[in-house]
Amino acid sequence: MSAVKKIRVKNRLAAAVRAPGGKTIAEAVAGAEARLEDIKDDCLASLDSILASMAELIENPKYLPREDVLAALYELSNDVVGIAGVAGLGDMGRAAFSFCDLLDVFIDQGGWNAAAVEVHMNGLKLLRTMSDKIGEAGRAQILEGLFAVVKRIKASATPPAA
Amino acid sequence: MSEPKSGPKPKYNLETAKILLVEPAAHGLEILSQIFTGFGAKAPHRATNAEDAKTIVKKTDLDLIVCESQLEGDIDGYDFVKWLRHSKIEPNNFTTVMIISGHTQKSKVEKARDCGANFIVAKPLTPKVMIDRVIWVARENRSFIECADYLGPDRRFHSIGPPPNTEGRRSDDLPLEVGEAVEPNLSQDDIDAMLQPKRVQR
Repeated sequence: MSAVKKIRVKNRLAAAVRAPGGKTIAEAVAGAEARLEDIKDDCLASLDSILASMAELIENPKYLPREDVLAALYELSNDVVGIAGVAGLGDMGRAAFSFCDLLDVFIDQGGWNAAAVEVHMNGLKLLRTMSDKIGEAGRAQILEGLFAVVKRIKASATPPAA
Repeated sequence: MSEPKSGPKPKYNLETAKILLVEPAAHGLEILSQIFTGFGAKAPHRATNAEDAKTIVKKTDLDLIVCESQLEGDIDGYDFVKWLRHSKIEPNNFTTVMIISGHTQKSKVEKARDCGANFIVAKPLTPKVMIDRVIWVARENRSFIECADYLGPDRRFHSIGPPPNTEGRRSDDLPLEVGEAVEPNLSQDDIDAMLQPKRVQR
């Protein structure tokens, strides 16, 4: 068994945040939220651009299920996870997370299911364009459906050989 | 993390903190920048890939690094943190690092655990979650652990002894089973005396 060395380190961040002045938690949160509000429209535009790139990859049969395309699709969907909440579309972010989960199964264990991919893509589009109209219950129903699809795909996927 | 209900609320100052934000996507970097600027940070350093981040690490003493797990190119966020911890570039090799991650691929969970980051924050990022995590990492005083396959903050958050069925590798590892007492129990007065120091006359 290898030896373990314990090193005491100075927490430089602690010293920095203790400097006089600064903001309370509430002030810091309010300051950041105000700034994020300013870029909300840019985030919505980014989401549209990402969705268009994803649709292009999915709708082109020559691309799928190529490994590099799956990776690109996964990255794009992960971008949606990071942006949707800031754009006020938290449920869209959760749908994108579910899509990442699905794509990770294909990347990690192989396989492909066009219907599962399509239903995620449609869910994302719906949550982007009709979020207010379908309401909270409608959004929850969409998410429930997407989670069920991923659960089924995971259950049927063959684990990679050890 | 909540603030005290009465009395002056504590303040946290990020104005002079040297912060590096690493995020490959332009919109992601913008979101991070806006959050930290909103917290009061002045012009945090920004990088979109590991190479640029390394250049900044070599030139500037940093107090906090916030890095996305997925970076473009061969080096991802976990590799970057591992490089940093082994870089011997003081004090940055001991700098607080928060990894931010959207979905984490199953194949990368172990890599995330072992890279040497202080904290992993799941996206979507909200200002409340971020400030809570920043304060949390600013308050922590975990030692660094260096062994054959890990260099970074102690991953044992609680003193629950060494892993099950092992004797432990650390000199201060204690067995989970407590031995028999070797001295009489302290009386309540002895305990009170330790907890309630009293003023004495000279």
